[in-house]
Amino acid sequence: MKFKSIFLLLIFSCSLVPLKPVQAEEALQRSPEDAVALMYISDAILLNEIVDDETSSTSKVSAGTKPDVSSDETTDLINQMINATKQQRNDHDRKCRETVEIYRQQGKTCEVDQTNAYCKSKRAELTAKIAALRKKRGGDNRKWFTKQWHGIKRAGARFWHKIGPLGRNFLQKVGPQALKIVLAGGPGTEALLKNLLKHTAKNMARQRAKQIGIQALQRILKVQIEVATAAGVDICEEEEEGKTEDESETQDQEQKNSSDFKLPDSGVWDLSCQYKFEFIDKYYQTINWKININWEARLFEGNIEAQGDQIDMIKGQGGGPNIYEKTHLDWKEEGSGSVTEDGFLWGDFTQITTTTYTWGEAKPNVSTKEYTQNWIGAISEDLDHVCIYRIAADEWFTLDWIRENGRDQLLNRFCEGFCPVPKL
Amino acid sequence: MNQTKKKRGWAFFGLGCGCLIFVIIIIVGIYLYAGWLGYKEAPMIVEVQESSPQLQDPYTLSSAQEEQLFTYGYPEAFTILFYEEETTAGGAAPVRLETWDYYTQGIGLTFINGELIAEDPIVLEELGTLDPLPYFPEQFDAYMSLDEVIAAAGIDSYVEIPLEKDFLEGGVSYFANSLTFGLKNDELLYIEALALTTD
Repeated sequence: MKFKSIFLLLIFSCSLVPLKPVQAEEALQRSPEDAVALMYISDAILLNEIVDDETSSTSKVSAGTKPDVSSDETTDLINQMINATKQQRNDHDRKCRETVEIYRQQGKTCEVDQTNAYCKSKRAELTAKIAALRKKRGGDNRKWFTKQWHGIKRAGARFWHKIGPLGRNFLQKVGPQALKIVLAGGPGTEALLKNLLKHTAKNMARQRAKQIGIQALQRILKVQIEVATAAGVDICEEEEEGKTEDESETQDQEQKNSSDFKLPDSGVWDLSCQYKFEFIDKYYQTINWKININWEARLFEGNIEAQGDQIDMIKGQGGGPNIYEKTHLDWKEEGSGSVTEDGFLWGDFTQITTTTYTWGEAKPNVSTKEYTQNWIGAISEDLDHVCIYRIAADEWFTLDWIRENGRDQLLNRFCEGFCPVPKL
Repeated sequence: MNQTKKKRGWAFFGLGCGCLIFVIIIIVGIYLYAGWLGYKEAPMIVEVQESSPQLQDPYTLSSAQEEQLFTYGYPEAFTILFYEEETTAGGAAPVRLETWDYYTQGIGLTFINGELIAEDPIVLEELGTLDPLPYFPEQFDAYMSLDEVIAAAGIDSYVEIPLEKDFLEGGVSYFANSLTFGLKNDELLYIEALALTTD
């Protein structure tokens, strides 16, 4: 009886042993995200890019109380971390879309689903990190005690910085040779960095640094799918309704003739200055959407390398929420192709009654004279015959195009991911 | 009776002073402790007093990398990420993902664990004159400690910026001459040697 009990206990214990391979991701102590995060914060600090975080956020995010962004160094540093995380999220989104498109073109639907699931999960983590940093930066919403505590920390830190020289003298005269002695400290990160980094080839280093982060992401995605497949996990999911796939084609970069931009006849679009999404699903405060679009980019004469500043382009009108306020125009390259993209919008939607949602006319605000030569400068006049279409979902996806004189032309390609690189 | 009253009075006075001194000590202690926390969290410049030089490069270049060295020479800038990735066998394997940039030759090379996986063109205008890079990729290896990085790179001073826990717990960013790197829990995960130009 005793041996029978022990035998049964052993069998029971064995059933608790997981049959599937251990989820190594949980055991990863040095995750690629950590390495990439360090790269992005270094990028942000070196370039001293402090984004005006509140004005750059899209309006679909529920507007909270604008934080009291003080000018002290700690706040600047947190702002840089927020900016670094946003940049990381942008690049993550772009490369996810590119990877999804590649898999779609190869007909690998399971890989598409796996990639989408992974990318959304990681995006959510980055978004949560941004939210936590914003909360840490604080402002009027911080509790009184938290504010006082931070004030005491700042005041006390100055005390330690001041007695620092005394400690250094002591160590140098009496104590053993220390490996490190704090030379100076206190406020002024920018000044500190300037002491050590006098001339920096910032543009060169930054462009390449981001590329390495993108390649790390692609490798991660590839490994994720291989691991899941090796584990025998059924990663295939049913295709979502309305999903369409189109063939893509590339265009010679030297072709400078403009091409008509044809909207597909799938019923997703109409030909007025309005556009609508066909929603596949909708949840409380979240709407999943899909669009399919064939596009061709026109190479405008003039400055094709213009890097856009943030310009107020258009505001959503009509029955929908304002989903954007500013845009970033970024001329990169021309080409053509086809893409099916999906994503989600979230916010407080109160007027949805059907599965299609239409919102209003985009307000054109561009000069046709100038935009053919220098888009950045062309924000002065309203023109009736020009409609600018915009689809935006925070930094997930944006695509602009212009209908001018009855012809639809792709104005801007924000998403590097799904647009093929023209041959050099 | 009067003497008893006097003694009691002195006792109360002593007790009151003691309490007051205790409260002052507590307040000063909180101030110093909070200040110390703030001090540790603040960016600072650190001057290295003494470090043992690294006698041997900790990383051995692969044959593919040596071949590229023969073709292009040492890179004018490089970036290395160290991390772990899952394996199909269920474990974790180290990854060294690095890019070597040759601005004057207009090419960038990407390696993963020493294997060349990409060659990308680099197009730049107005390059200017580049300072020779004092660092080489093989000087740095995965998860080196701060002291090891200092010894490997021969750093004599650097900027240390502790990162918020919400951004990366245990993470610290460092900046030295033509070099920036990041450690988490004193393990090197990212390092970048920057090309410097004289503007």
